[in-house]
Order: sequence, then C-alpha cells, then structure tokens
Amino acid sequence: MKILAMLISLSLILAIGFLYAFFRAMKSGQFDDLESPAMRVLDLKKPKTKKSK
Amino acid sequence: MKQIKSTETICAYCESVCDSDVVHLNNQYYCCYGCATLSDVVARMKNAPVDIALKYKQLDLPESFNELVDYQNDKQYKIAISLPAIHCSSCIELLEDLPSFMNGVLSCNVNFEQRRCTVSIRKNVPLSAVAQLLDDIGYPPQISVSQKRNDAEKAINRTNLLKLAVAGFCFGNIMLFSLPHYFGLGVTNQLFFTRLFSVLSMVLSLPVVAYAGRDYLTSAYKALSAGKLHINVPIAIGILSLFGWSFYEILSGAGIGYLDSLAGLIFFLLIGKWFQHKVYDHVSYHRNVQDFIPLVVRKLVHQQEEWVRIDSLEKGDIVRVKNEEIIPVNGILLKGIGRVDYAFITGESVPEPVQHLGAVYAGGCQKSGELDIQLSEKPSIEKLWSTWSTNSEVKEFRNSWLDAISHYFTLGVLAIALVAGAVWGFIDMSKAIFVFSAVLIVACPCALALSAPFTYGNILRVFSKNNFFLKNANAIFTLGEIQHIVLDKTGTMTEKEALLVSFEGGELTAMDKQLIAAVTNQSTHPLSSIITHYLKGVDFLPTRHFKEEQGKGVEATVGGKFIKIGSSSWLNAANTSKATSVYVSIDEELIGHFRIQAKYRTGLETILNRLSTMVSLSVLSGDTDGEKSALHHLFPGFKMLKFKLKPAQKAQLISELQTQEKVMMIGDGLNDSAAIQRGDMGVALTENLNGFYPGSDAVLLSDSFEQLPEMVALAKYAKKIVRWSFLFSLMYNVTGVGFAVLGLLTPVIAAILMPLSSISVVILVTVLVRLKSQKLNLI
Repeated sequence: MKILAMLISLSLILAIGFLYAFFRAMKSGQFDDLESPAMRVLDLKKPKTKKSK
Repeated sequence: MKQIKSTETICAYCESVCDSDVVHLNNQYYCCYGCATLSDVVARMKNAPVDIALKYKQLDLPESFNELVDYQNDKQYKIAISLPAIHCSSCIELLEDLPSFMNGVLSCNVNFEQRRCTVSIRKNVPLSAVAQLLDDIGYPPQISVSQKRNDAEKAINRTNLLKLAVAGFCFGNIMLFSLPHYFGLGVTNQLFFTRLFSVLSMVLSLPVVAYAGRDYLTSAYKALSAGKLHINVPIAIGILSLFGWSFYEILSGAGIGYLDSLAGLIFFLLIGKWFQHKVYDHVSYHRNVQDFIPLVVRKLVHQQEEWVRIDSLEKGDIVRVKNEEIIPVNGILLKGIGRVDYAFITGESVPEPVQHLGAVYAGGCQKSGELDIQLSEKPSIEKLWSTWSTNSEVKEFRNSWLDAISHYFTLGVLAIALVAGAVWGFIDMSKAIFVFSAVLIVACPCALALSAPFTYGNILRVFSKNNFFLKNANAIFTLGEIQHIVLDKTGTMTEKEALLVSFEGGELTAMDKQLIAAVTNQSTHPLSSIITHYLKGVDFLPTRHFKEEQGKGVEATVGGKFIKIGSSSWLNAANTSKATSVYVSIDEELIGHFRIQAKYRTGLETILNRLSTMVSLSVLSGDTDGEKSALHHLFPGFKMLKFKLKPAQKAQLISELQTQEKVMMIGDGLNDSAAIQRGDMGVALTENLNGFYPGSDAVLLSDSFEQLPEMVALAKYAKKIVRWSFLFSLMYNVTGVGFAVLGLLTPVIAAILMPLSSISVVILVTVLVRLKSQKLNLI
C-alpha cells in the first residue's frame, strides 16, 4: 500500500509541472491570440526569420 | 522537399515556384495576377511621398511619444497599435509584410483577436510616418494614451485566468484526496494515508485562499472598513470559516475538513468572473475627447507650413487646415472656401458656409479644401475640450438590488449562526463552535454570487451578437430599470447623411432640370449642393447675372430665362410645407418647390411602438423643427418633442426628467455626449465600432437599431431571471443551513451541496436567458 504514497506524490509533481507549463505559456502570451497563428499558416511566403519576442 | 530547377521561375512577390502561367510586369515575374497587383501596389506605396495628416503628426511630440511606446532604446522603439480594420488572414499577411515596403520598420506582428499589431521601428523613422502609411494602406490606426490604458486593463484578464488555473488545479487534487473518505475506501483506515491526504489538502488550499481567492477577501475587507456590506462580505466569511474550521479539524485530528468545498467554491466563483470579463475585447470605451482634437497645427510662417504645438500659438497667428480636418482654433477665415460641418457641436447635419473674413469655431470640420485661419484669440486646450465634454466624471453602475440583498443576507446568516451556536452551547458546548462555523460555511452565497454574473454575462453575449456593447455587466441592471428613453433625431432616428429630396408641383421637365441645376451648381450653399446632387446627370448651362442673396436664395439668367431659387418669402410663395423647402420660379412664375427631408430609419415606426409598450419616449434634437409634424405623424406618443436645443440644454432637460424617472439617452456623435453622459444610461449609436463615443455606457451599431426594443425587453427580463435564481439558490442554502443547525453537516454533504448549487444555478440562468433570447429572436 505504501506504493500509493509514492504514486500520489509523483502524480502531484506531474500536475504541478503542467500547471507550471501553463503559467509559462500564459506569461509568454501564447493565449493572447488564438486566431492569428492559424491564419498565418496560410501565408504563402517563405517563413520569415525568427522575430524578436 | 521540392527541388527548384534553374529553369523554374520564382515569383518576385510570394517567392513560390511559378506554374506555367507566368505574369510578366515591370521586368519581374509573378506566379499570378494577385501577386503582380499586390507587388505593384506595394511598389507604388514605397515610392509615394507620405503626406502626414494632422492627427498623426502629434504622435511625434515627445510627451505623447514617450507614453505611447512600449519600449525604446537608442536604435529602435516598439509600439502596439490598434488597427480595427484588420479583417481576415490577408490583412495579417499584408501587415506582417510591412518591413518589406517601408524602410525602417523592423518587424510587425499581428494579434488578430485584439486587432492589434506590434511594430518595431528604427528610431529615425517617426511614428507619424508609420501611422500614415498604415492609414494609406487602409488600416487607420488608433494610437492614443487612453487606448494604451485600455490595453493595460486586458492584462488583468490574464491574471484572472492564472488564478482560475490555480484554483482548478487545487480543486481537482483536493477532491481526489477527499474522495477515498467519502466512499469509505480501504486506504482511509490507515492513519498514514489520512494524515498524508489531509496535509496535502492543506498545502494545496493555501494558494487557493492566498492567491486565487485573495480578491474576495481584500474587497470584503475594503467594504467592511468603509462600513458597507457588499456581496463579497458573506463570501469572505464563508471562505475564512471554511479555511479556519478545516485547519482546526485536521490539526486536532477530528476529521478531514471541508477543503474540497473551499477550493470548489473559489473555483466556481472565478469561473463566473472570467466569464463576465470574457465578453468583448474590441470595443473601447476609453477614448477621450482629447484623442480627437489636434494637438499640433500647421502654422504659417512666411508662407511656409511649420508644425507647432497648439498651445504655443498666439492671437494673430495663421494656421492652415486641410480638407476633412478638424478646425483646432477660433478665428477668422482668410483664404479658402469655408464649408464647415459643426455636427460635432450643434448636431446640425448640413455644413455651414463661411464667407471670407467670417468667423470659424474650433471643433468644426472643414469640408471643402484648404483654409487659412487667423486666430482671434489665444487657444486654450482646456477650453477646446470643454466645447465637447461638459464633464468627464465616470458613471459607476451599481446593482443596488444585489447590494441590498447581500446586506440582509449577511445579517441573516450571522444571526442564524449566532443563535444556533448559542442554543447548542446549552446542549453540548463542544459542538457549539462547530455548528456556528458550519452555518457560515454552508450559507456561503456562492450560488447567489454566481447567478448575477452568469445571467448578465449570457445577456452581454446575446447583446454583443446583436452589436450592442455595454460597458459593464451591471449596466444591464440599469437598462432593465429604464423608464424613459430620450432619442436624438439626426443620425439616430434618421439615417446618417441620407436626405430625401422630392420635387412638389408637377413633373420637372429635362429642360427645367437643366435650368435649375445650372443655377444651384454656382452656389456654395449646402441646400444648393443637395439640389444639384439630386438633379445629377444634367449638363450645366452657362449662367449670367448670377446673384446670391444671403439667407434668401439665388437668381440667374440661364438660356434667356430668369431663374429664382430660394425661400418661400423671397419668392412670395405660400409656405405650405413644414419641412425644409426650396422654392423655384422660372420667369417670375412659381413652378413648385423641393422638399428636403431627413430619411428615417426603416421600420422606425414599429421600433417606437414596441419601445413605447415598455418605456416612455421623447425626442430632443439640435435641428430645426422642420420635421416636427412628420415625427408627430410617425409616432404620436412622444412625451416631449423639442428642437433647436444646444447640447447643454439637452443635458439640462435630461436632468429634469431624471428627478422622476430613470432616463436613457440614445444619440450619436459628439454633440450628444453631454446628454449621453447625463442619462442614467447613455447609448451611442454608431456606424462602425471604431468610432468615438465619449461618455457613453453602451454602443449600439446603427444596423442593429431595430433590435433595440427586444434588447430592452431582455434586460428587463434579466431582473426576473436573477430573482428566480436567487430563490433557487436560497433553497439550497435553507437545506444546508438546516443540516448545519442540527449539527449534521458533514464534509460529504458540504462537498455535494456546494458544487451542486453552483452548477445548477449556472445551468438554470443560462437556459433561461437562451430561451428568452430565442423567443425575442435575438439569437
């Protein structure tokens, strides 16, 4: 049964990892604009050089 | 990967490999006509000299520039620019291509959802040039300090989402740790696991209260220290008693506490908040009059134009105003044809002709070419602003009913908790504190707190689908209480810039038309231009002896005939029409008159009739009373029908009405801004959402004017929905308090009752709003 304790702590760490990832994504502005990246795919031109953040 | 052969042609614009049909233009090869055309347009744009408009020039002033840019160093600066005209993916493509057709633009990144683009620009390129370029390619930018403040507000939304994520995460995990207890699974028999789960729940509950739920605690604290009972006060009491009691229970080893209910409660509350904030991003209420008045002007020094700040001008200076620009100063006209549209100030829709050396006033918009104006006084920016906005206090919508409810609710719950605790004190002292906090826990008005945001949030969504955008959710409550709607005439009830011209007095022959047009074409009077426009398509004959009598009319000899066009008194005609009329005589013989009428919105009559079943209606207009009888005929039930009102008088009349009723003002443009602001609720009617609506609490797109009665009805119904859902959630509270008072509230019951009440209230109000909106044909 003690194995449960380990599993629980692992799952919690994993979940915190996801939460952290969400924070990172949110802070970097990934959720600010959910539409334009999809439209940018249709841009026929060559992909531009990486823009400054 | 496709190998590009040397024989294949690469499109000079889109850089893809061309198929067989190569388009050849200006020594370049393109894969299609689209690319060729775009490239041509772009090339022209590159070479065209940029004539920077007045309104953009002021962006270069160091004061505004430093406040506008997001970031700057010695080499470049970065700024976020609102471009409401962004429409589809092609716009993104074009705008992100900006660096390729303007030197000095380093990068451009479009945010489609917010209709904004972030541009990095080299320091030597002025912001005004970029703004003008964007305008030239069809994306008039909205750059202003107030706009920027508005964007800062959106950042708060981001924080709300983070809080929601934290609350959701903790809620889910705490729930997992609590479930084994509820279902009596084997693990809970072991002390180790009970301890582990409890401690983990405690740890997870800390961020929920300290981070996610902090706003509720602080706002409750603020309300209390101001001596008020806000809806957040009972919520905060609930949160704190849940938190406190759970910690006590766990630490004393008495049980597992109610932490799952606590996390769930905050999670649901935050969902409600997020939902309410989500509704719209693209309407800005934060633009001020200041954004629309030119701060820099073209001063003429030795016949040379020079850009100067408006407050550095002195009396006697000469400024140049170009076509369609707003006149920034009071002065006299030195050069140019003055046709000034004072619609912003007076509401009169027809531009006013100004003679040489005549006076022009700040705030008017020049409509026919360049003007030179000599200042008759030193301009003051403050005075200029006050022309438009009499006061700029911000109206705050309060849901007085909700506040009253939470007042009694809090007191009631506290009383029940105290009484129950005291009674238990006689029976079993150890249970008294438990019962006291159990009542506070279960009575937490989360369902109450959710019903209003969700009802209003849903209605806001319905409204925005119908192009009616309210400033905030509580405005719906105010809208539902409105008893009197005051309408402006020009531009509100009538269609903007549409005039109905008709000739009365028999059919005009082609010859007559030519004769009349020949004369009116000579005159700069607005009514003449309207008639000329009406008679369009005829040849203009040469005229002789042309004479224009100020305020009377025009006369001339055309083709041997003497034509007189003007007012009824000047032509000795009987004035039979109430509407604006222009009489015509040929060889001293009256042949009839032109009737010039405003064109009312289609279906105005039914709209007014439907509105009048809910509210009383009035019309306050700045125009002449030429339309009075027509309006009266259209809808006889107006309570008040007044004309020739100045903006301040409109506001005054509204204040008078407000002593008895709740008044909503619907108007357009700047001339109504004082009245719009004065009303309990001010609605700006606008042709497009990029416009300007000072002081308004709501913006209605004029195409959706027809739906206004239904939307008012829905707002009135909203109050009913909120009441019903209050009653509904009160049932849960009564049940819960019943358990609590009897000392039977277990974590299981709390964990079931609290989310259930929240979710069922949310579902109830959503369904009710949807049903009603469908019935009203709003969705």
